[in-house]
Amino acid sequence: MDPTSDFLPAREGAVLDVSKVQQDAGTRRLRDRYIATRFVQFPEPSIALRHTSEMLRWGRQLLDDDQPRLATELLYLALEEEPKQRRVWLFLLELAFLNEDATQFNELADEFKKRFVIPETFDEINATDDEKEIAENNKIIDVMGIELAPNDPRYANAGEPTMLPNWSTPDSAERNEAGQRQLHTALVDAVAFHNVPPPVLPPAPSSVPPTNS
Amino acid sequence: MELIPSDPKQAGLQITKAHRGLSDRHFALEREMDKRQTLECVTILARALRDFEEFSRADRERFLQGGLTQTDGDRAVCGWITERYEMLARVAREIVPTGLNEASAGRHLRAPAWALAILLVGHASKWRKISGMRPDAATPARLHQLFRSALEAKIEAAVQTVTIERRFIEATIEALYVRALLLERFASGNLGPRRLEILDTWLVAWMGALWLTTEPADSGATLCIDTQNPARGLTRPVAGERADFYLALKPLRRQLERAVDYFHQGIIFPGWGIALSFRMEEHIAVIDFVERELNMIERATAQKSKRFPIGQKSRVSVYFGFSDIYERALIKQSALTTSVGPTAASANSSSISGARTGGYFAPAALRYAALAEDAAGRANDFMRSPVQLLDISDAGMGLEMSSDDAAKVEVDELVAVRIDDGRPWVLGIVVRKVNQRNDYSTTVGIKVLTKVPLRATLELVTDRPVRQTANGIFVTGAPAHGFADSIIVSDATYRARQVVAVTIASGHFHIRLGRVRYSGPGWKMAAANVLEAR
Repeated sequence: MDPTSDFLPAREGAVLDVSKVQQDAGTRRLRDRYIATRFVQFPEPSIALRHTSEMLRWGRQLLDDDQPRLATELLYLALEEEPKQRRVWLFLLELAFLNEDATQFNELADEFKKRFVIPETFDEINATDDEKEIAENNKIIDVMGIELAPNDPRYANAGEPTMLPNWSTPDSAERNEAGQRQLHTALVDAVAFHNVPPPVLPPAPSSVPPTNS
Repeated sequence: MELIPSDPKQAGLQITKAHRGLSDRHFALEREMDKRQTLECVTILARALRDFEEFSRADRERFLQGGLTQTDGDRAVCGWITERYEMLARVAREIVPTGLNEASAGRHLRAPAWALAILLVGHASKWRKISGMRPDAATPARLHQLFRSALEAKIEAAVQTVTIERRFIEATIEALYVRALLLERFASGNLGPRRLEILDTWLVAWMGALWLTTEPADSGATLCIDTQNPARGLTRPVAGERADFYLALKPLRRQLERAVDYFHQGIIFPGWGIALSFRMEEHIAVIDFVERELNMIERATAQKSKRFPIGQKSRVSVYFGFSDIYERALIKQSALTTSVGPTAASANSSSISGARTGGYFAPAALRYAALAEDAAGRANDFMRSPVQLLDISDAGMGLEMSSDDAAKVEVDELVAVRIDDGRPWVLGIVVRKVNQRNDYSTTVGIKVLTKVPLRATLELVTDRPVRQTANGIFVTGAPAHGFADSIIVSDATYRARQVVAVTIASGHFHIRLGRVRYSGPGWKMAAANVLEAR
């Protein structure tokens, strides 16, 4: 992209452009500074963005914060650094599905299938665990795709309806759902305790002293 | 006479003979100008603008870089720049021909007059804000009048070349009009000088997307313009109110994504202008600002929470800043909410059982006595004048305070407001400050974080035998899953990135300070991620 051009067309769609990660030190430093300032938890963005489980956790937290755009940006940044993070792709696919954004979903699905290819000689018995997982992912993507775009030929081979895979809710051990609910309940109780309406006080006695007639 | 700008080696800016010489030159130029000769005048004025911007570039750059360390000389030079832009804008308006219509011969040849006039109104409006002056109430009227006459002459879509920051920019008169209106809208809000300069550079780079329609967009949020209303610029459409043009926000959203793309590539968007040398934090703050504005407009269009004006302004108690709020506004809550208590066992010790009960089951009378404490008993020495509540909704409120007091309050400052005695303090963030036209009062917009903040004493969980405590305020999120709950802590506590322990009623929690949801001067509101609950 020419940085000196004044009127470039706006970004269309969500195709991943890994060339965004520049190799020269100056732009790399600026990119890192941008990420470290926008996502204050990452003092070392180039390292942190390659930690898939961290990315999924932060992505989930941003969704919890009602910041889906920021979550999407973070996950794209992670993929720009390391496009092989399959679970990040799946997180984005589920996000697009939940947002009912068929265009983005289709683009992500195409890109995913291009990057994670199942060998033509694939058979369930001799396949590696990775290959089996990718095949399973593809099946679910097709089912989700046909729901979003019923007439799209790319999902023509979709199988039976399935449960939402929960790719956007990582099963990280750090996500203590029971504990989080327990804290929330305690906080809600404390809020109710303090949010007491003021008592109705009896009318103040008249300040006019009785006259001594 | 050769004009020499300020010496870049001197400590502060100063008005020099050269500055005064340039002012004199502008006055002479105006005197000698035959304003009926539109094209000739436009050429002269455009050259004068280029010369002035070249001359003042170092001053503008140094003033914007200067931040809080401004000298009287700096302010004088800034005032001078504003005055020059305003003078050039006035002359430019005067040379715009009147009474042209689509049948007038040579109307397209004269279109540069409109472009220059509207461009300069935008510059002047921006520099008024940068120099700390109030927005000029006449600006929307001037812009509307210029645009209406361009519409009559049917030249609003004519592409003109204007010079901005040494670059030749092609834009329609309509785009320049929208850029000026957007600047006017944002300049009346809370953007500081550097951020306003960044935003203006972005708007210039986005001008290809700044087009108006006569009907609101089918999908997505829009802003509207009533060109007959001299008091209004770009506003949200309101049913029943007149509007003749609409600005769809979707293209702006896409342009923002494009700007973000540049940063991903390690390029300061748009790659030119004075703002290139500003710190990254300033650019990120503008991204946040534009996102927030767009979200506010989009959500308001979808589901605006009802705002109740307060009939007779009511006086409220207010505290600003994390420490003051913790130490003074919420002081009486300490015995009532979450606390490890002075006699409790350390979270770092082997046993966590014991007297850590927090004890918020205090008698109702005590509870009420604490909450109903008379604010006058602990006068807020920060605010010298009374603070009035203007309006309130579920998500925000408006306060009116003296401009002197408001000057001490920063945007993103934490604020606690008590609306009724006997009710908890409402905790929020200052999101905007708008000077009123009466010159002595300021409206402060507040985003409400919680209507019941919970004061807590936290214990830092470390492997050291000595206990360390920290102050925190819990903000309870709405979702029942609890992942939206947060703790507000000081910057220092957050920087330590520790796990903290806290007891609430009978529950004991180890919590990691997670992602920062909001931050301001000296404080951060971080996600409360439970590691362990007992």
